[in-house]
Amino acid sequence: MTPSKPIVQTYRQGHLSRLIKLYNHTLADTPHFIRDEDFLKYFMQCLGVNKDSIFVASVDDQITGLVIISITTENSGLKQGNIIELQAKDLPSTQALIQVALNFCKDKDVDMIVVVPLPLPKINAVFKDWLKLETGAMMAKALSISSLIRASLSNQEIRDSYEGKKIVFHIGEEIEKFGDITSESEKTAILITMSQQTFLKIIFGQVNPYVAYLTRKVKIHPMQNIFPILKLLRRMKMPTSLYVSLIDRI
Amino acid sequence: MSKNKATSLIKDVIIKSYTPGDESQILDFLNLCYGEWGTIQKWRSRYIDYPTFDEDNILLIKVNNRIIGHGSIHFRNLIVRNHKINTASLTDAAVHPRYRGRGLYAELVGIRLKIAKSKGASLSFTWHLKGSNAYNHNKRIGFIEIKQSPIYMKVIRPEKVIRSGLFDLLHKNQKLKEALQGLGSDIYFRLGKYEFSILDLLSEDKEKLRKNQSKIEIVLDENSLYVIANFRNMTKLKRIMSLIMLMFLRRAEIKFSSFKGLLNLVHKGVAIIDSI
Repeated sequence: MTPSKPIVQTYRQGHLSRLIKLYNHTLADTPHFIRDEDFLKYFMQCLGVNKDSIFVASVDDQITGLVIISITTENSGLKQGNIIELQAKDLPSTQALIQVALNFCKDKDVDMIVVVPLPLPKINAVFKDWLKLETGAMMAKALSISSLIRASLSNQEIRDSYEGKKIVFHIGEEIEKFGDITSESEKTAILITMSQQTFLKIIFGQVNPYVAYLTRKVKIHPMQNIFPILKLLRRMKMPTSLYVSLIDRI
Repeated sequence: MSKNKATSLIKDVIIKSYTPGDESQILDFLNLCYGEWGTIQKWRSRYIDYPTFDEDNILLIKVNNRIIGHGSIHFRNLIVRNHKINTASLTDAAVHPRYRGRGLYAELVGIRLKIAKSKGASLSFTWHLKGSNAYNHNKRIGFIEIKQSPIYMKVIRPEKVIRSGLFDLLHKNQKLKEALQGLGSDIYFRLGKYEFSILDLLSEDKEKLRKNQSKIEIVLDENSLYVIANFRNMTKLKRIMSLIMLMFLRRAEIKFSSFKGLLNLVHKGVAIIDSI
């Protein structure tokens, strides 16, 4: 049986709770900025968005995608179609939503359209006749290491595989303990030392912990624990790169 | 709030949070600093309507009750493996042109990072043009650059996109604007049948200025769009290399209406390239 084609319709208020379910599917493994009801309502009331410029795709009454379009006019007179949010479970839903967005923008007589698509497999095929823009630089700085470590180690599988281990992270000027560490047992714990920047680069997948260790950016004591600890640092990396849609780039 | 090094160099400086009633002054200030920031509707949408908005999230530096510095924070959670991380995005930093180079930007960043930390943020984000002063400053104080998903653009009217790109560039780069005003020639851009000039973009007394000016014409083809669209986000070196490549690949051609136009460009070319 061939899969049903996605049907695209304008958004209705009753879709909201089902959209949260869609996000739980599309962004489950992708680090992203929050999309709860408050933020979704905010997206839908942003400048240039109206009730006719929000569309949902569905297959067999299941919502499979969402697109929110904001139409703005710059002081230079440029009329811009901004797809501020595009979420889709699969490629056919993405294609259907993009087609509807294109038609909508052309009806509104826009001069250009911009979008940040989700990193789906074969997504480039959908945007093959679009220009890929170089964006400004997104920068990050850690303000509290302990919370980042907790988030990185929140995966139960990772925690289980290091069950019983006592690890002390000494990152920049902050110290965070992993495992049941008392003042007595701290002497026998494994100590990992690195700068805040190196830690963030490991988390965001920009530095390989093995390379960081070899270049002395990461220090581990005692020496016999090097490989399991480097493996742990590698697993602390974000599962995929951060998804930042147009609406997130404030 | 206490004054520190940078603000102590300027007399009568007050650092305070936003209070209702400040919005029109803030908007004028942002439009002055950014060239073209936007309207009160955009400001309301970006601040008042934002789900985590708080008056303390907008920081103002004032002298004699006039704003000379602005910086804001947008708080939101980052979701990683179902775990929420409270983050603070540092946004809309601006310093009055007359007060630049006195460390006010550094102070705006420093104070906002302290506020963010005190409100429980674990991670801070900013967005900047690569290689800009703000980018370099933030790198120095421990920010790292992180990869973000690409933006795709569908161009429907290339001539409008090019015109707007140049408008944006000119209104955000005072040095370039002045260098072009002092050129003594008006530069016309032509794409197919569409034509516009730098004087049109600067919307000054064009006819008066145009009288004694020679004409320099830059003929672009549609393949130049990629460079023009990305121009603002390029580093200075990349901008200059891209312009050279456009000429070399004949995607852009320069024509002079008179020898005077060529001489003007040769004479002022270095100042223009320096300000790009």
